[in-house]
Amino acid sequence: MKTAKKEPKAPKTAKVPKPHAMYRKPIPEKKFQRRYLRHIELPKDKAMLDAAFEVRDGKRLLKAGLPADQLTRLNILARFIKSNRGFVKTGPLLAVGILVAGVVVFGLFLMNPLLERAAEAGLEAVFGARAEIVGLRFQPFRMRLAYSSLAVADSDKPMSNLFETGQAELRLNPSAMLRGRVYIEEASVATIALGTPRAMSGALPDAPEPPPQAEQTAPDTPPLVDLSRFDAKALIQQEKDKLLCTAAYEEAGTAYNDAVQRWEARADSSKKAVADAGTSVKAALAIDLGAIKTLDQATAAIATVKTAISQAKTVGTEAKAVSDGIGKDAATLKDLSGAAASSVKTDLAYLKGFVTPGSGAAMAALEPSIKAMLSDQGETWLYYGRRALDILGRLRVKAGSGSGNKDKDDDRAVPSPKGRNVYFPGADYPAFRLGRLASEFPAGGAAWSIDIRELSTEPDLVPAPSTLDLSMERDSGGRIVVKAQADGKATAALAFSLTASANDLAVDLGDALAKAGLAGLTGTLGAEARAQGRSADIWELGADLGLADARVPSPEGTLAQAIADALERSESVDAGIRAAQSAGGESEFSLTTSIDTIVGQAVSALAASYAKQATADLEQALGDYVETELDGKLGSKEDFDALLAAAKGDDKAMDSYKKALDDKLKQLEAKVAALGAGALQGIGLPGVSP
Amino acid sequence: MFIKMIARLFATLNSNASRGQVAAGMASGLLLALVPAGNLLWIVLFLLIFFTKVHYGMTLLVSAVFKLVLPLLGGPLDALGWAVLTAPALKPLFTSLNALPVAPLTRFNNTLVMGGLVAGLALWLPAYFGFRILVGLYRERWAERIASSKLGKAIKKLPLVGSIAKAVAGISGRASAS
Repeated sequence: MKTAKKEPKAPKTAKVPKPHAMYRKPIPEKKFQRRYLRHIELPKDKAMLDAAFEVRDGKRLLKAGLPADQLTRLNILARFIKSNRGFVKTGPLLAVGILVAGVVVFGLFLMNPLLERAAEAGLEAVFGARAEIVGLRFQPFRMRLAYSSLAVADSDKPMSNLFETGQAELRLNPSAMLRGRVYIEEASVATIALGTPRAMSGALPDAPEPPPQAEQTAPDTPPLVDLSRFDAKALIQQEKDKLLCTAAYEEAGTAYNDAVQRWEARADSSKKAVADAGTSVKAALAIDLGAIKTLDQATAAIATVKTAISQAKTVGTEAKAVSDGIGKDAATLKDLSGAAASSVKTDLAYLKGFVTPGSGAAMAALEPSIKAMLSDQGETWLYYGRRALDILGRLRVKAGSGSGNKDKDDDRAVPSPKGRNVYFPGADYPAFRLGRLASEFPAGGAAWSIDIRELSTEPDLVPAPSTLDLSMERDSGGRIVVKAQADGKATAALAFSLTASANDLAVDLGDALAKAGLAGLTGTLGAEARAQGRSADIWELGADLGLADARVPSPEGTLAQAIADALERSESVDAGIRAAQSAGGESEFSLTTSIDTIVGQAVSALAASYAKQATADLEQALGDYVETELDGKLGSKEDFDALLAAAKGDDKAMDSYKKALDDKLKQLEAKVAALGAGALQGIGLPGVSP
Repeated sequence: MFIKMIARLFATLNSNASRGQVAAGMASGLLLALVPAGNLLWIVLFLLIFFTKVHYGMTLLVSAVFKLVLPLLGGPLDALGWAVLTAPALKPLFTSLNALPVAPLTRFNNTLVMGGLVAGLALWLPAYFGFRILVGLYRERWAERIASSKLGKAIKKLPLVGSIAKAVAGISGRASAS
């Protein structure tokens, strides 16, 4: 079957596009000029557009049969004509829709984490330490903000939290919010805890090192001696480090050792020289005058004696120097050994104080512990008080550098990269204001209630000063009420005042007085305290405390027993505390109590019956202690005394040698004179004639 | 992507985009550059521009370029803002403004914000007309001259410029017309 020959395909013609809708209808000439041609910028395109239309009855009609490329270009120009018309876009409505959707997504997923981080950053700036907020939720339409927990670290103790709160809900003021201020009208917090430990350090990366914490040392409490089982030797061993004689003997012994070492070699050398000189001297003194018959023999003997005299002089000078030096040291060492001996008497008096306690001894034993205990408690509260004032001060500083201070323009001479802020009155909202924070919660077997009002960055814009009302009511009875006020207004110079009272508060001092044998002291405390100050560094505090129904379950020792009995018999033990810190940073603390009066007489009477025997025991034991442990330290004294005696002996010997040699020399000179006279007898002198 | 962005800007200059829109975009970019970001005023200005038919590409380009040189203008802008904010005659106005809700969020009381806003608004019209004239001159006189000059041709031969030229052609659809 024959197949027809395929005809060659006709070349593809470009598909003619449909003209844009805006070109299809007739366009009035005026409109064509104003709304079409005017919006084409390029002259060539303008000419093409003009040529593509024909005029019919005063209207423009698109010419028929235009080539495809021209129609394509015309359609492109249609887009420009459309976009170049008018000033406002309707298209961005879609973008607005996307923006709204974005805001919703932001609100659902990003807003809370970002707000959480921003709030943490703000708290970190104020407190100077890490802040952690968990589960922050912001409800913009209700103006409510809530979180599950908040912990702010203590910048001075990075391993502790300054405070920690449980679940909280905050009501924000919308009007302030629209002015860029944060005004928390009311905040309710489930729990608040202070000083809780942290797992990780709360120090900020670039924060300065916190000030070193003073190490808490136990108070140096003198023990109350149990007189019924008094052991003098044990007391001396216990107090050994505090006895003066121990150190005095040590010092004297060392001085003797040093002196012996210093003089020993020189004294030996001098002694040897004296012995050598003695040999020469004896040889010179042994010269027999009767055996000298001639002048030559006499002259030789004189020379021998003179040599011996010269040697004796040199050796004698050294022997005297050694003797004088050792003698001088001997005077000093005598004083030291005298002081050591007298220190024994002082120590004996000190040790007797333990076995003859008056009322003062009882107080001396109790006061350090009581003071330490009260100081610990007081310092904890003072610390938080100081931190609170410090933070109020920081808030004011932050406000000063921000936009809240209405009266102060930021008039730095050199422009900052962030510009300067000019302040205008009118917005009476501080940058931050906490209207009220209230919390009631149980903790540690007590019901706590905290009410804080009017914390703000600009106290001048807030009608009332900052206040704190705190109360704690124990389940077992007893109540503490604290009312504090801090006025940060510029005119008030951040003055603060505080009153606190405690009633029927059961106290258990635990081991605080254990060293005095009064472990487990319990009672019922009543207290009134007042504090006021001009700043965190200048303040004064007074407190009056009364401890009723004092009981010590098992006092240890005779004196502790007497004190416990006296406390039990008394109606109340009163104490007064006065503390203050002045502008120069000097602090005072004084404590007065009635303990001394209460227990004094009972203790004295008890002590008198034991004191005589105990004193005798002590004298004996101290004597033994000095003999066995201290006298040995003066072992070098004998060596030194021997050195001194030998040096003095050498000096004396040399003196006697010198005297004997001088006599010998005189005798020899007389002999020479006699020999000379004998030689001249019988020799006549020549006559002399006038 | 970057080449395409540059190409779009060149395409704009060589296309039928309204010179008024291009000039307004440039003037608006200058305004946005002069006002520091991070406040409600900047956001409002941005949204206003967003809803008008200015050329965004030019807005962003000019804004980015002027942001680079803005630190050099910090002193004069600060002085201008200070002069405006402390002018006794304007104090009642700013005080009232400060008392209004939301207004403080614009940070109008900052010297750089106020200086930038005043300078930006004052320069907007001159910048608009200036850029408009420049775009017109470019389109009517310089574009052809540049394209036909030896330097223009040499530049066109560069690989990067070639890529840009192709992109321009693709975007503006102007190849057939020019």
